[in-house]
Amino acid sequence: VTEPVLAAAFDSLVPAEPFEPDWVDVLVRAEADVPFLRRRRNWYALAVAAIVIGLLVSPAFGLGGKFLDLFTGSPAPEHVKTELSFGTNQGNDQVDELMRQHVKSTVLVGQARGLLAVPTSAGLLHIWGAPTSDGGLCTYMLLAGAPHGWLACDTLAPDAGPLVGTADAHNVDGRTLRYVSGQARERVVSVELKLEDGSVFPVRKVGTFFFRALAPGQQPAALVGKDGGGSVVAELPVASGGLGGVLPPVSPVGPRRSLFVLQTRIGKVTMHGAAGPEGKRCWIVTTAAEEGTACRDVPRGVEFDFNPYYNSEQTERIVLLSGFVGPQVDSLQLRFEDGSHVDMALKRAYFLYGLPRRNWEAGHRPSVLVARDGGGKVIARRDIVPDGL
Amino acid sequence: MDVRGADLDEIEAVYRERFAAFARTATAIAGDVESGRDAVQEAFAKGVRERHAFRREGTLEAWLWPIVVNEARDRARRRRPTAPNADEPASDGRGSENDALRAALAALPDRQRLAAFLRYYADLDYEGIGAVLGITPGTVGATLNAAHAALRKSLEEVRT
Repeated sequence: VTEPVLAAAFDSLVPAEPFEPDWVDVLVRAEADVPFLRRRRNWYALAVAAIVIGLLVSPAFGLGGKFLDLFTGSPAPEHVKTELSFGTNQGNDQVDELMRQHVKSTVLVGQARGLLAVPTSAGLLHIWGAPTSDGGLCTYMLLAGAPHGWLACDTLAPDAGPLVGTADAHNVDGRTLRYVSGQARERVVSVELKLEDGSVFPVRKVGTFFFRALAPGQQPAALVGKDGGGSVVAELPVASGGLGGVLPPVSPVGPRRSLFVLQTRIGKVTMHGAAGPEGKRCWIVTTAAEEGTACRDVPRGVEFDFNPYYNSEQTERIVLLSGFVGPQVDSLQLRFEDGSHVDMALKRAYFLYGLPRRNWEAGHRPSVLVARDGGGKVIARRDIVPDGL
Repeated sequence: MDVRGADLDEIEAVYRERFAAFARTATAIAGDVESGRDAVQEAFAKGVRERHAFRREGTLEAWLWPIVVNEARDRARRRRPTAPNADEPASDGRGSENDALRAALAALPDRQRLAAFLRYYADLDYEGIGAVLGITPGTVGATLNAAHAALRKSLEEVRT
């Protein structure tokens, strides 16, 4: 028996590659920081793109803190991968393409894995996660038995701090599923949720992702990140009710003022403005299915979000450009790839614009926002495509 | 400049480039595919967690191998028997040879068996095997010779 024969015998004992590589599983086991962040050089401004894909879920009141650990790391089923890839098989490719540009990335659906499974009174809430090519994380939440769930993609900016997160609410037939979720950087080993009544609850963390469902009546006050020694390294105020929005989450502190009302394919869309904390200004976009709040520092030029919104039945989508301009700005122009442009109507420095379908097509998409002062001098330009936010 | 520690990209690169070697070796040591998978994944997770301890005194792969081997051995000890156990029966008529090889491997001293796995499945040279097992390359040679002799003998017995 020669060495090659022996080698052949060894070969026949163990397959050449007995199982598939799974780097995300390694990282989940290690509870390492989201690895994909470190490869990027140019993180774009703190951005959250939150989509609601259908709200055909049952209410989930009385959510507990229990999780099914066996779910963690399980490969995502195909239908979840499809959702994580922005549902490109659902005939909404144009919106999906806009979303991809919005988050400047491709979702690595092949690496989609289960993050958590949370028992609820409405059934199991499954949460899958997939990294994005630009260092973000997309999560898809689905209640067992529900045909559709929620997709959200977050990309952390380098200056976002060690802990970012939001309190979200999804309304279904007047009932609400509420939770806090977000991402924590590597040195945050554990996350706690402080409620307004002073009580504190642990928040489950898997890798960088964390999640805790809120029971009825629970009002979140802050998320607290601690290092391995138990020292607080970050405390982030949170307030319930917002969808998407800006990280770190901040909420309006002043009264809401009605600014715009649009009649759209998904029904009435309203936009309100309000003062935010620390001199920020906020805008709130409300549809029949969801509400998005963003609070930003007052810019020299323009602050904006560029988001799709969906009706509850997931049969229609619209794309909205919303935001506000700085005090020096007198006019705001949206330019398109085909050279055309439209002037944004400003009301109390805010604007809301529903992107026509013709401008979803490649070659006709929004390209840049141009802000001018009263003398017509350009004082700010903000690229939209491909640089997104 | 402090050059200690490995970063995640480096570990991931080793994981992807040498995945088949780690997977096969761990499976052989642990005794079944599922245990092998768990050993590799857990070993690399440990490597990720403890990456700051890598002192760059050798290659990162050499630093990772003992972690993988130890994880696989832990699972083999829990499992028993220690011989590799292909999950699927061989389809090329090698069933009896495989049985014989398994039996022969199970009968080998622990160091010889590990050395054989690291030679055949990880394709490590004597120096690499020695680094994992904590023995000199010369001792690796002697260990492998002894292992080969025993394994050859068992296969020849089957063939005759």
